[in-house]
Amino acid sequence: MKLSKSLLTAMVVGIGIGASVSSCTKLNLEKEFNGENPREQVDGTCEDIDIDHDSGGEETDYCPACGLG
Amino acid sequence: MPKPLASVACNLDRNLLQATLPLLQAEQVEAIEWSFDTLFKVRDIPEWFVQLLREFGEAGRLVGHGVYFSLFSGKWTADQEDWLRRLRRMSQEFRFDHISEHFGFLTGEHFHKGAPLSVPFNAKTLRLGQDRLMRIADACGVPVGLENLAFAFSPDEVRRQGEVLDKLLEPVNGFLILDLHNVYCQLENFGLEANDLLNYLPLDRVREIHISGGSWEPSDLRETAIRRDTHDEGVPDAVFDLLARHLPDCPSTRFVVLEQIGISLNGEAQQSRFRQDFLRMKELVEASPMQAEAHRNFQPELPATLPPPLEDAELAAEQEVLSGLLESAADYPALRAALAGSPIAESDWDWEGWTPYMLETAMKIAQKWKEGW
Repeated sequence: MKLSKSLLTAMVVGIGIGASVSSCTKLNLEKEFNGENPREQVDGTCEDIDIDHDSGGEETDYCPACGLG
Repeated sequence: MPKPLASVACNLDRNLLQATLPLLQAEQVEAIEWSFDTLFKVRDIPEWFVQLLREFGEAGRLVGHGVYFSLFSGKWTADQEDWLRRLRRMSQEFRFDHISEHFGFLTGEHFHKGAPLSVPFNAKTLRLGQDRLMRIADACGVPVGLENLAFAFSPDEVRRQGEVLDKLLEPVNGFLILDLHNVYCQLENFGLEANDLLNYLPLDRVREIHISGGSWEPSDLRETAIRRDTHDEGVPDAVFDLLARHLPDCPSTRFVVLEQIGISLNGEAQQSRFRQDFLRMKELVEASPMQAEAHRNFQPELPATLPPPLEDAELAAEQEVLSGLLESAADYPALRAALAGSPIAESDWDWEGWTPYMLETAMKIAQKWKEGW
């Protein structure tokens, strides 16, 4: 089955630096089930994978971890 | 009709995901099975893993496989109530094509400690299991099924398991997960023939097939080692052979799933072997002469409201006794002496008829897992 490019990219990054906390956002299922805002930004993860959102250029157009440009 | 979907048991484990990722990238994996209750106590799940579950779910290619419900526990517990509550929520969050659990009860003081064992097959345990399956079906709203157990105390239990599974599943129109490595364990441990054993199972109910590897454990009570369903090695040729020969006997199969635990995929050689096993499985499925029937409808029909959960205090007490003796026995002779003087002596448990080396194996399993998984 074909998966989305964004998912596969995020998995490459996520699995590479550890499956437990590995992306810019993590989904807190407990909060989601309770109707609270489930998405928590994790500091530093984009830097951990050498993505600088402020520098511009093709390589930073898309951060595979957080999906931000 | 399309052939079954080549699937991976995919959980939030780095080694397992590393092993599986190249297959996902190459678009080889057609479905995934997720042991959803292993993450019930995990608050924070990476969003990419959630997205993985969603993409397969939206395509109708996500199945859930529970581990911790303990179908045959005689006592109804808050843990089971909570498990159903979480399953209900999970089923709203993710689109499962079906949900399954294991056939047995867990030793240990609660769900997250113990190993799965069978129960005496009688009218009371049948009603108990049917009650539990009905509740699982009510919580998830999709077809529900059970996996055949690897462990058995005797050849007679092996022969009866199929009939019991069929009766358990009938009220919920349920399906069977045919775990072929579990079958292999029973063939090796009791010297049975594959055709004979499989004739006892309701193969018309098979909707999912598992293949995996395991290990050999020496026994003081048997010249040959005991085959254990430890999921920590590649798939043996004998299990691939069972798949090739018997997939055509299971015309309602929709998923064929490769299982291996992450701790055993801790190097490139192991991960490469895993991918080879998956591709070999997929080739066998595609080459199979099986004639898939129009996918059998396993959707349950349930009453509008459920009665209170059945309980069997006597069974619960006996399970506690058996679990305690298995977990605490100093050695096999001590275990036999304790069982002989226990409340389960000369009962439906028929421990006196259990094959000695399987009783010894049960003791080892219970003592290994009593501190948790």
